[in-house]
Amino acid sequence: MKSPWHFDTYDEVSAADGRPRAVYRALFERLQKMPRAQVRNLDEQLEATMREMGVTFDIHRDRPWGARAWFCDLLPQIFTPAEWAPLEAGVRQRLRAFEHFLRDIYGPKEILTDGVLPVRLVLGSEFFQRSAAGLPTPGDAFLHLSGLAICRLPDGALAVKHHYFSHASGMSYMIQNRRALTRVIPQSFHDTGIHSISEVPTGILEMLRAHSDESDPLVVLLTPGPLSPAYSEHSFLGRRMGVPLVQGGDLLVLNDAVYLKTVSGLSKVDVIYSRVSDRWLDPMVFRRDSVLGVPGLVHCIRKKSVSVVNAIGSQVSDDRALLPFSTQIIRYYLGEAPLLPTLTTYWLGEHDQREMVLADLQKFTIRGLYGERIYLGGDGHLPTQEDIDAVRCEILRDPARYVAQPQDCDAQTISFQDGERRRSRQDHILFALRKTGGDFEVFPGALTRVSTKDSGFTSSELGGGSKDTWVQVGLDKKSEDWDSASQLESKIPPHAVTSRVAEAYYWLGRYLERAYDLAGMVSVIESLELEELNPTERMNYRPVWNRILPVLEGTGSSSRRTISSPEGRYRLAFDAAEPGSVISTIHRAFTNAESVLETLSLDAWGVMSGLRARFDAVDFNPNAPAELLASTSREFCLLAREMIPRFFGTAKCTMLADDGWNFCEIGQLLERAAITANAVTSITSPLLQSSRLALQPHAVEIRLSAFLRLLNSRDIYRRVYQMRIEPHALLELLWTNPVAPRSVASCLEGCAALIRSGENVLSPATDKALSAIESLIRQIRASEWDALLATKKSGLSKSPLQRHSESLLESLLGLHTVICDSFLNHQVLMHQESKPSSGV
Amino acid sequence: MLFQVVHTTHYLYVDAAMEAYLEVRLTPPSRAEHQIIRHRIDFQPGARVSDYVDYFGNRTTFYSMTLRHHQLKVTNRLTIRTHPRTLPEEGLALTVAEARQILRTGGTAVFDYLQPTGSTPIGGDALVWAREILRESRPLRDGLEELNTRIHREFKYRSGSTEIETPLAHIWKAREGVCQDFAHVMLSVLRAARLPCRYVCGYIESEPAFPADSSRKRLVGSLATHAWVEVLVPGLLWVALDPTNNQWCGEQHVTIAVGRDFLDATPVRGTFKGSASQKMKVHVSMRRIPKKS
Repeated sequence: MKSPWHFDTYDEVSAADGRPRAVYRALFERLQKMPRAQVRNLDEQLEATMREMGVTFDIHRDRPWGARAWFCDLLPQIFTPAEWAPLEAGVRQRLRAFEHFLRDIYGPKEILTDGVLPVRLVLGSEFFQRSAAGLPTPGDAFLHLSGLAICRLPDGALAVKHHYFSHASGMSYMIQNRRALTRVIPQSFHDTGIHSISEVPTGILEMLRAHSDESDPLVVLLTPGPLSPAYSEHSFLGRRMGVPLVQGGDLLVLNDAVYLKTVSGLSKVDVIYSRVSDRWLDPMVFRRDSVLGVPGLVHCIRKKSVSVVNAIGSQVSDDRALLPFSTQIIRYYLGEAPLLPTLTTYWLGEHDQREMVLADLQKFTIRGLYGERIYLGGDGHLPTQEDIDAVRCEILRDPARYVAQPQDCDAQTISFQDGERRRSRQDHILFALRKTGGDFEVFPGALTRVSTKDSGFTSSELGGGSKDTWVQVGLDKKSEDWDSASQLESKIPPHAVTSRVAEAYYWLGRYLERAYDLAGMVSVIESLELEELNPTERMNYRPVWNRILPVLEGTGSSSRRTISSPEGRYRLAFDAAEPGSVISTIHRAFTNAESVLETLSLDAWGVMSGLRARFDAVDFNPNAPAELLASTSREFCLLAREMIPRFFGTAKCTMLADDGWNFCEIGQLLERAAITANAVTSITSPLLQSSRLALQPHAVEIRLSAFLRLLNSRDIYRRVYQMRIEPHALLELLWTNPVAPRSVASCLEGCAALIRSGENVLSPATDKALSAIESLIRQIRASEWDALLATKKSGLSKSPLQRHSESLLESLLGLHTVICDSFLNHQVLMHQESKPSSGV
Repeated sequence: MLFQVVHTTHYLYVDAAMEAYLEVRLTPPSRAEHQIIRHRIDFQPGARVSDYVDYFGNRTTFYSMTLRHHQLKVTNRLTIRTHPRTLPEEGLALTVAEARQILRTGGTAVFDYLQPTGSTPIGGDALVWAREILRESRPLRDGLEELNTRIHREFKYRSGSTEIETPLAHIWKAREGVCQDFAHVMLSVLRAARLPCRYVCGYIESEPAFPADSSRKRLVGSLATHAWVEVLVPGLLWVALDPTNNQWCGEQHVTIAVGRDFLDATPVRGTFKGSASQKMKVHVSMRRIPKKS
């Protein structure tokens, strides 16, 4: 059991006499006077506001919608002008020094040849990127947007705890905290004049745009994707800056330039704001197994066709083993004494420091050289002997991978959680932006991180919460008028849907339609088998079914064509090992939906995940009694029949009707057309037999009726033709009928209409796709079914009807490639790009 | 000697690839030991390519293909004249300890070549061999030659016995491998002995130029690219040893790329999108052009 340990730390809000410090007095009294229930109420309101604004920090990947809202405290952190000015100067000085440092070590390496730093510490660092040596940097600088963690020593002095120079993470939370707090306790803001931070995203955008010579450069924000815990930050910044949020797969490299794949073509990317760590950025140069990066990106930087912020290689400046050398680095490059002290940091690769730390391990927080992982301490508790022993072993195995910092470096503060006052520990992350002249501007705010009821750590990755951070306006300045309107989001310019998003939607549509059709077939067969069929009828039905349904591939079943047994149908519904089963298809649809989670409406997602959960809950057991297998298959297939249309309906009502959603419908229609065409092609010979041979009319009727039922089209047939099922009418209904929902021609008309309705009417890709679809529609309409049915086949060759159907089917399946090439992977446009005339 | 080299790397995909990116290090560096007469790299399907010089000094060519394609072929055609290499006797006459001492002052330029890498760890057997063979008091030349011979003698050359990912510890244990493994073994011992060294990828003449000369042994390493090792000796000069063939490198060796280990000097490296897997076939032919009489 861990016991809390009272470190002798600085008290942020109370003075030595126990009374609140002057700067907090007014705020504190206001909160103090409130009844507990009201405080709790405010706290809940704050949490709800965060949730409503979509602010999450997902440290648990199993909750796709971020069940954990961001925790922001009711009591803000306040920095007085007297505290802030030296802090700001210290941060700027440090950034200037480390910018010099990066230029030096990726160039002449003077600091190493002069013996100021051990060579091994720099060149041996995991994040020293050899490929960054000699690489052009944006605006000839490495650092453009940087973060830095600050803490309070027991005597109240502020000191630097970590460098986040290469990777400023948390800016959105800083902004969101302010927005939420102004909504929940607007009156508190009247007590004191504070600096606004609402212009931060605009400042970042201006900086990014300045790194291109284009008059209207394309800036993108590169994210590792929805699995990154800070994804909500990435999408917030992308939205607020009005730049596309992209993943590695959205970009490609062509003729030494980076392009963004959108449904309306390739757009050249000028500036990339990267939130992906260097080592994943380009599999050609860094980790070979990276799928988050863009192959060839580094080469494009080298050829100066694109700028990446911050510059590749910057990450080495965040190595914690360099922290103890900060003073030397500042002195070496600037000839100045550091304005801001560094928290005492011991690098355990050094023998004497290691011995000293190991002798008194409980006093220290043990961290790695990078990242937020803490091996010991840091949670405000006295570590147990077992923990200490385990960490000692781990350190001794490879001491150079660890640093130690004193445990008593985080100030104490008060936070309100569930209406209760609690003591928390805190530190702060400050952010700074490089201005065109080369100086750094520190944003007048911070992300103050606090320990919470749930986590003793301050770090967000480890479950910590936060406080809004106010920087008071000095007496010499006029208090800025508080304008809550400036806190609201500006209108976001629309931009083209990326091909990745469109492709995911396209497949989502296809898979859902496939699962829907298959579920329909299985449930129809179950009904017929259970209730309606006599043995003769079965004999006539089964060959037709077997042709249409996917084969079972697994070895678990006795035959690949076991569609006539309840077990086979059960497998077709629930066997996740069968690639063609309903459940596998739903899983694939789900994977696609997940990859575009941020664009999917909550309601639509709810329907999808509900369906998947219901299917996953089935305990797969194909050896159960046949009766149970049959009823389970039927029940769940009916459920899929109900939920999938509900998904489409809900999505249509709740989603942006943009190109992304268009492609879901295109996928759905194309899949339906393909299933119909495939089914109708596969029964060609029975059709021919029934039209020519003297097969009993009853038997013909049974076969064709079974077939139409599988496609859910028997009632439609009756309604359209009001007669016995005839081969000719059946062909017409399924291929050419303009109103039948399954007819291939009407599905294709639908696709064409969706493509026309998109914004990309003028693109050559659209023209190509449309003309392919229209020409197929014309071919289908021109089919002379009567004549084809009447022509006998000669010898062993295929019948004309068979040949004709197969050729239509092939063209139809070819449309998939046309659509992919035109909108999703740009084969069409790239042919144009490759023309020598477009070369530079 | 005058050589004509044709080196093809052929990728065949299972499904068509939508995007392919290659970085090839196939251009011999400018060196006194050889003179490039003609050199051309062909890519199929064709696309615009561009060059740069990487951190280790290799001229690197970048190629991107963003159209659907079923196969990809890189052909390196090289006509090159090689000259006999002279060894820096002075530097090699120093003892291992002296050499180490002098090279230590090389600072940042030498640092990279002293560090173990994922493919060249310096513990275990490497350290044992380093202590035994590269003793401090021993002349550097003796030590290097014995190391070369020991690897040649104690490790068996067996083509196909290892993969690129086979860890070096496994090679040490099995005592067999291909030229790349021989080179990595040698680098690990040299680095354990704190002598700076690097990996070399290149071509070697394998067919005897004059079939009548039956006394000449066929050299191992043909039909694919070859690998050997360079050691930095005082005077900041690199000397090249080929442990696979137990010899100092000479006129039959053509250097194309160098680095800390295989990964830095990979002749052809690719990233593909769209195809689940691909087969790679490599063929090298190196033919001596007889002198005109």
